Amino acid sequence: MSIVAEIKPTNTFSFKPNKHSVADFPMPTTRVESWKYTRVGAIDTNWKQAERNSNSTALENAIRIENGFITLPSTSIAGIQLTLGKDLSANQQETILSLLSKENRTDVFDAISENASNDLVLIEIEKGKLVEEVLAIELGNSSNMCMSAPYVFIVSKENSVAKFTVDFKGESEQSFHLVNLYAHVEASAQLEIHQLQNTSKNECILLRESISQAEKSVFKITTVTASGTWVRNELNIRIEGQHCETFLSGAYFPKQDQLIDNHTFVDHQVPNCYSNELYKGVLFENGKGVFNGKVYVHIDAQKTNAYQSNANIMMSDNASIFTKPELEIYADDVKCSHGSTTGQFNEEALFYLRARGLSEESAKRLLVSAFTSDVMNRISIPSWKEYVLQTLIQNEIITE
Amino acid sequence: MLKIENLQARIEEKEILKGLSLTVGEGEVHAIMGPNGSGKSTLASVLAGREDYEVTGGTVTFNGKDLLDMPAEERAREGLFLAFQYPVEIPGVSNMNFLKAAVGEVRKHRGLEALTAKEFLQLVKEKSELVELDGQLANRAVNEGFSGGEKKRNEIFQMAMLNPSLCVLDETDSGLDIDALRIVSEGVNAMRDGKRSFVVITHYQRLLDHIVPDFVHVLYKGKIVKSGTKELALELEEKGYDWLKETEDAK
Repeated sequence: MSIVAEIKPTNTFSFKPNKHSVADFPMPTTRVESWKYTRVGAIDTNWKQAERNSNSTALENAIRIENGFITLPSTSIAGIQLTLGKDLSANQQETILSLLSKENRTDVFDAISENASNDLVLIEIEKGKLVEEVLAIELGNSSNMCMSAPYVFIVSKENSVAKFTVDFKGESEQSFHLVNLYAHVEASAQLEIHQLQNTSKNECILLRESISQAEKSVFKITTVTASGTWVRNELNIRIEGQHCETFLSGAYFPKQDQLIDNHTFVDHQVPNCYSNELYKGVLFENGKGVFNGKVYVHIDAQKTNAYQSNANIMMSDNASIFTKPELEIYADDVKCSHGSTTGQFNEEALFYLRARGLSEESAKRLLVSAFTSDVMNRISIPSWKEYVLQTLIQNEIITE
Repeated sequence: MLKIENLQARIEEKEILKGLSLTVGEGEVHAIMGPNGSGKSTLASVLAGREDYEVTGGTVTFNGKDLLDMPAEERAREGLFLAFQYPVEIPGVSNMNFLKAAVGEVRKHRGLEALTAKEFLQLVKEKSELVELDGQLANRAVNEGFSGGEKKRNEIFQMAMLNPSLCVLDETDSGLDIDALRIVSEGVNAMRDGKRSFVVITHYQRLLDHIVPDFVHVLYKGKIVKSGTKELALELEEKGYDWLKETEDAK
């Protein structure tokens, strides 16, 4: 049975005219270019639409999203305004509609998300505010076989500075996180989002992120997928104003039969912007990785500096990686580069470490830590970096 | 300490060691000399446990244990140290973290207590001075961007840190200028304590002016064809390997 048959529309987006209709879109097959290596079979199953866990309680310092329902933290953070879907003002509804209208991707998952969405939250960072505290968002599905479909909207107002962490926790045997995150970074604002995905057993994630940047803004994002049976992260960044900086990074470690897919799109619409992309993968056992990095430089986007790098290490003969840089450059005065490497472990390095007394296993983990250290060094929140590293240590991926 | 009997080894289909025997006693320094391709580096690799080489015959006993039965890491923990001819650059792995892990493993295996952070740093300071290794080098990635001389000094530094009972130096003199050769040799000599044994593999006699061996062996076509004292090295230096090849090939 497919997801579609089960959907009972919710009223989360009752304020949105022209909601997409699920029936209008087919499920993508591997004949669709952007789904060529990722089969939707694992997520197109008979999930139950998630229900609110009535025992769910507010966390002190984090937004808790459980089964797609959002509970705000019990303490407020100065400079950040949090509004749940039911409490939106007319203006805030307009803000959300304008964020949604920027994303021109429309497919069956957009339609499912809109119609099945349990809840949404609008996060507004006050103009000119430097928020020192990190705002944490924690996502978990506590009901088995549920599909949760929350939306997070972030508006970093002019000249504000804020950092977020997003923690996908594995709490169910089997469930589906269908998560949409939209952010707009206004002029001269800085926004960072640091994400960890460590879902258990048979949880699937489809994370769709849609970011837009106004002039002189800075946006940084890191996504570490430590574990997850079927994970697809779609990250679309539109650079709409000049003199922006964009850093997008990720690391993924599929084991067993896991699939981890990162589709990124950096859209350089205007001149004089800088983007830097770095994704690294270490693939174990029958793990499968997909990296598709699209960079589009519009004809007017002169003096664009765009760098992209994807490197992979295969830890097993049965692991696979499908990596595709996709650069479309229409301006003639730009600096753009991309590099993609896939290799085995350096056997010489491994032997050297073992000849000094390290076991093969710990030598490998040391080399994995070294390989991914440049991605980890982009995590600018020390406590979060430590948390991510500890998770990777627990998952027996890296060494202390 | 080390007893090699009739050792035979090959890489892929090529026989390299063809019945090599050698006994190294406690505190002894043995030099292994020989022309290119005679099997010197193969001997070092086989002793350290490099898996590309297949041992097809013979035995190696190290402190009474079957060395060939142990994986590379266990040999290191048991006290065998190979100073690489070509130390590997490992970007992203800091020398310090690597050494901490290595020293930890080795001490654990030998039933010694783990060093405290302070004790470890003290040991690093002491041992890096031995080979005049800049403290900065210890903080960099393993061998990354090191000069040839720095790499070899780093090998001896690691050797001093791990406190092995048998040190195998594989052409440690290759690529060293005269100062680096002096520093490396002094580092090695400082570790000669009458108990620790050394197998010094070299093509040239020059190194043996600095590290004076108790015995010199000549390896040719995978076997030791001549053994003697340090005077043998001088004779080889004077007459060259051709003299030896001719005598051997005539047999």
